[in-house]
Amino acid sequence: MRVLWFLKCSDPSTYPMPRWHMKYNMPLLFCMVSGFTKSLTHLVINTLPVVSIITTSIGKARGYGSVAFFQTLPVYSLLITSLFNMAPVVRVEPNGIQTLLSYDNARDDLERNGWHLFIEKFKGFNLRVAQEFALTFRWLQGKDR
Amino acid sequence: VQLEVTEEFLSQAMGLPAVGQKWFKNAKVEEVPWTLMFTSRKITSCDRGMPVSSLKPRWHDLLAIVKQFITCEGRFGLVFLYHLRLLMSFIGFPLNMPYFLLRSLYKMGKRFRKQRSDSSLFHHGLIKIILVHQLQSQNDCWDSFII
Repeated sequence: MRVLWFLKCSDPSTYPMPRWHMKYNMPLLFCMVSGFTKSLTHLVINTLPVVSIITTSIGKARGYGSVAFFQTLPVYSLLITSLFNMAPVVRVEPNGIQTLLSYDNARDDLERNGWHLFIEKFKGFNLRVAQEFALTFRWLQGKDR
Repeated sequence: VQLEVTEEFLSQAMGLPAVGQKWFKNAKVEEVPWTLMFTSRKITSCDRGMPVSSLKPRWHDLLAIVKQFITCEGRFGLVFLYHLRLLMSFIGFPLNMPYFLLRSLYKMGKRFRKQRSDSSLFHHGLIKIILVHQLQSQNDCWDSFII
């Protein structure tokens, strides 16, 4: 279930960004990794705990004397999973209107400061355009700072 | 599309005035009482970051918004000094946001050209706002630009 959900959300352009993603760090990091290769890597990594639990069960069922290796597999695989969940992420800003609706307490402050108009202008993005922009963005006034 | 991104351009594109202190992350935070934002009065340093829970509840939502739109990062559990400086603009210590974002865009572009990694790429939404503003001035639109 988790793997299917991840594959569905791995493309940041379709990332739904509900309120609980904004509040907590882990799911955000988990599903904001983009690209097919990374999706495939995460698919493998996320199935590791399941695979290792199955192998542990098989090891026990076959009556191996020392099952230490099989017993530690889930621990290692969970550790690897945690590490890969902290992999580089594509940092994508959410839709402004959704965010403002989620944060009722902040709306008054934003309006007083004039930031609400700015945040409401955030209406999606295009990864390719952002990449090209970053590649060609240069400091024209004097030398690079 | 060729465009020159300046503070004035960003100010027009974002609808934010280019007034207030010209400050960026690498400068010191001076004469700003950021310690008032914490529940404990014993906090006098925030160099290595503090847990968000140590902030007064009023700032939690605003901090999340700042992290998502202005600084564009994922470390939602920690608050750093530059976050506090940005938040202080809500209580009478205005910041020149076009200047801040221009410097942030430049820093991001420089890092992205060096690393060529999507993890160093951010300000996606801001880039779209800039381009949409430029396209509108040329009587063009985003959809036709993408095609």
